[in-house]
Amino acid sequence: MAKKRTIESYLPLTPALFHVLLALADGEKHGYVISKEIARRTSNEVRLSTGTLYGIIKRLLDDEMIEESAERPDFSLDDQRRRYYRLTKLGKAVAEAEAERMERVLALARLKHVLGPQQA
Amino acid sequence: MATRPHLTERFFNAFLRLFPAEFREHFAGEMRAVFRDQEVDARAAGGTAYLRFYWETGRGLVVAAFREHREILLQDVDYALRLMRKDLSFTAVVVAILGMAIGASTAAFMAAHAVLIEPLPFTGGNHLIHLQQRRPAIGVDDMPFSVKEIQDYRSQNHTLDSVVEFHEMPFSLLGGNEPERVDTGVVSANFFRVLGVSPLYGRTFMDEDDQPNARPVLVLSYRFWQKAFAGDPNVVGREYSMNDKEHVVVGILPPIPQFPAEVDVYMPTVACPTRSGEHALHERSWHMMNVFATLRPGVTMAAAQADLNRIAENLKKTYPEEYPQAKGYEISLQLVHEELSRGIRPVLIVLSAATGLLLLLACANVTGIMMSRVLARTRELTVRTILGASRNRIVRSLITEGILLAMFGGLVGWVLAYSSLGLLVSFTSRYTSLASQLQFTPQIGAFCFLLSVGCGVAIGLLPALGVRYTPLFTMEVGNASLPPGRLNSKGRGVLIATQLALSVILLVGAGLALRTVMQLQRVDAGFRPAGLLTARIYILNGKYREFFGQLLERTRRLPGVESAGLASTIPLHAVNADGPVPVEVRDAEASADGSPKLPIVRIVTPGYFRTLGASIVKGRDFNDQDADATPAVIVNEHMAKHYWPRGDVIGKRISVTSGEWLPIVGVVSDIRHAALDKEPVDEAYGSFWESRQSTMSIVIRSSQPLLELSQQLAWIAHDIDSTAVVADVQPMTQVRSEWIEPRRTTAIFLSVFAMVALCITASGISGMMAVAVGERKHEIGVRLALGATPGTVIRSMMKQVLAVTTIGLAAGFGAAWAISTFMSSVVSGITTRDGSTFAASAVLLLAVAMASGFVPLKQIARLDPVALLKTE
Repeated sequence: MAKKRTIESYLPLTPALFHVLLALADGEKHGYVISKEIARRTSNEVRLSTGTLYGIIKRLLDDEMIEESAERPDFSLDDQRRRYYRLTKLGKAVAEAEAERMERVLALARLKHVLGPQQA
Repeated sequence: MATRPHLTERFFNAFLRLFPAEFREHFAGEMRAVFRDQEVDARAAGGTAYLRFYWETGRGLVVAAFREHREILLQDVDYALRLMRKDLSFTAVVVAILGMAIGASTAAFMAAHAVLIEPLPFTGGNHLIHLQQRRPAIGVDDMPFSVKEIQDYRSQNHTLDSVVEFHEMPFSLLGGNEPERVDTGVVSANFFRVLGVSPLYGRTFMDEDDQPNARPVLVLSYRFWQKAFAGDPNVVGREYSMNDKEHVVVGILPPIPQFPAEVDVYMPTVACPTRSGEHALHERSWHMMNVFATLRPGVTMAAAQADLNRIAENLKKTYPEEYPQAKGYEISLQLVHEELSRGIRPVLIVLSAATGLLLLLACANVTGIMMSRVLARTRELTVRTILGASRNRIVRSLITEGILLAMFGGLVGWVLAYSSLGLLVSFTSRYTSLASQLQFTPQIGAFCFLLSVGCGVAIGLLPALGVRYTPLFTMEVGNASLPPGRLNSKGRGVLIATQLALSVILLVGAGLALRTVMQLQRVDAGFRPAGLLTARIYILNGKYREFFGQLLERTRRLPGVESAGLASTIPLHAVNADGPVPVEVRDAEASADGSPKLPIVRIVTPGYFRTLGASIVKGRDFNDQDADATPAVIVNEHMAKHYWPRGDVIGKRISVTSGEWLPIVGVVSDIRHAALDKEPVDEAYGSFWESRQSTMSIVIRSSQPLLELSQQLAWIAHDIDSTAVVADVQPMTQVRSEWIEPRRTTAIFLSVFAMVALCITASGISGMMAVAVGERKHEIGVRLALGATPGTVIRSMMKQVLAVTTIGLAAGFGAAWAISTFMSSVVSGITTRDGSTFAASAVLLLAVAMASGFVPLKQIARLDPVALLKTE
């Protein structure tokens, strides 16, 4: 039987993967919405092409950080080919751990005056 | 009606095909929807965003597909490694079989690549040509050039860049510990410049070195420098005496294949006393030199040939006496690369073909093992399928497993091929100086790698197809003894028949080669090699007659010596100093046939024939009285029968030198001088007393140990003349076996391949029957329970072995029959379609097949039907 992985073993996440987790942090979404939100929130700095996006989704599904949502919107509003994804507990924990890790890095950067003090 | 997808979507669908099937099945529909949405956004954004979107999408799909494949590959490799670790004996057997076959193929490729494919290591090596003068009417194919002819071709041609000359002469090098006979290449000053050879130390020749009265200089070959001077670079600048002149060593060559011959030292043409003599310089008929040239850029061989033909025609017109129509005169061109590899080409073709067959056989065998193994793993594969793995995924993992096993085999093969380098160099050097080009280069590594991958795909594919087309779900989980798919059992039968067929080909090939060697060993060459010592003796001073006379007399007086004699060339020796000579024959009873071959003229002393073991069949041998009597000749039986078939030969006259008619005083039995597998040719022997030979070979028949005798011979020679060189001292048995050696080595190589093939095939048949017993346990149990005896069951299963063996043997013999013609066409002297070889191979293979098939069936006798049926 495969050994259970610790949260730390997933870190650090690639920026694209972290963005996908963040995009799902406030609720389930399908692929197009995930890519759209990431582009919007990063002012188009991070644009995920279809191949990259679904490569990440597959990896997150395999690692059980996300799962397919069984609940579907109203039939008339829904495209049946789309699948909706949501964070699992593990996904949330990994995203939190990555955010904390980045926070620690930022704190260190401030301490070393690489970054200016945090704006109030 | 379904609408036809937009062009961009069709492109997108094409890119989607790059992904693994499982990925596509799961995500393709969704990805298409996202693509369409993103495309609408990109169109709305306008400008370059549109183009950037397509670029990023395409690139993203390629990168993601690659990652997915890599991910699967890593998983499959990890899985295959775990399986291999779990069944180490299976892994070891497969790796060993593939390793041997890949190693042998890589080694054969290494030799073929270095000799047949790799260009010569000289500037423009592939455009270097050898000029050959021919006298077609009298059967002379390679007449050397005279200085005058070289000057004509050099000055009159319009197609050659540089024309250089080479001839080889043995000289004595003095100044070391003892006189040393050195093979000397006498070359034009620009010889090394034309070949583009830079010296390892010092320099090569300059134009000034080849001027009259220039200081004599030498360049040493790498091999001679290592052997005689232990690689001491300080030898450059030292002086050594040669031909009564001091020569200074000016340079040392790097370790390159020497061309056109392996020599010890090189000197410019002016330093060679013969080449710079009056006769050589002024007589057009003083043929001595080999000539080489490079083609001018853009000139074809055909254009150069036409250009040289024009010069040849001019020569014939200008000097009709030198180029008489009766002898004919032509000039031809040969690519040097082809010429150097001509001797070994057939051997390499046969060895490459044999290793190729061995590789096919190994792949067929391992495929059979893999199929049996896949069968044994049916339960595991079924579980994997139930857990969601697709057929494609399983097929892919089996091919990966095959490739991984073959890669390990390739690693073993790599080590084997690398370790065989020394053996290969020594083997190929018997045929060609290109042997020194043999190296384990990156190309060889790449070949080994690609071969391993190819074998891996081959051995993984068939079992994988077996899985693909065998309904796994027909089998209940937990029941591992249901009948296998038809593809599996038929496939294994085909594989065994293939192995048998390939074994037949290898066995017949090896048998024919061995039989040829055995025949060569039994050939009566016209002399008795046992108890015979030979040596080649070179002297510098002009007192040849006195020196060799004394040498012979004192050697004959040595204890244990029965007889001794001298000859210009001894049979089967690498140095063949004698050649065809235009001889006129008086009072011949039958004129020579349509394609007259010139007799070879050799020089011998009294007692030579008796010492060698040849017999005088008519007339008498030369004797000491001939020294002061009228010159005479002895001819061999072949020549006597050729010109005087009624036997009336004694007293007839022939003329070797124009105008001088010599009586025939004796007829000697035929001696195969050139080769054991070549019929005797016309030979005439002149008396030593009439010649001025500075180099002779001695043969001594003695009852005392040959080692002691050789020391005594060297002592006598140096006692008579301290500058005399005694070289190539060896028993005649060794001369003969050295001649046979390359053929024997080829036969041994083929025999080893055949034996390995036989073992692999035997293991394959054994394995097939062991699997068959395992698969049919239930049926066997029922038959035994119903009263069949183990003997009846075994007999019925042996029929299966017999059927497969018969098919394999029939196919194999058909192919071997065709291949024996091929072998005889590429390897001279090989016995073809030898009935006993075919019969012996058939009996051996049949016996091995039946025995190896029977061994696993013995367990049937021990099976308990009740226990078997209970288990079921």
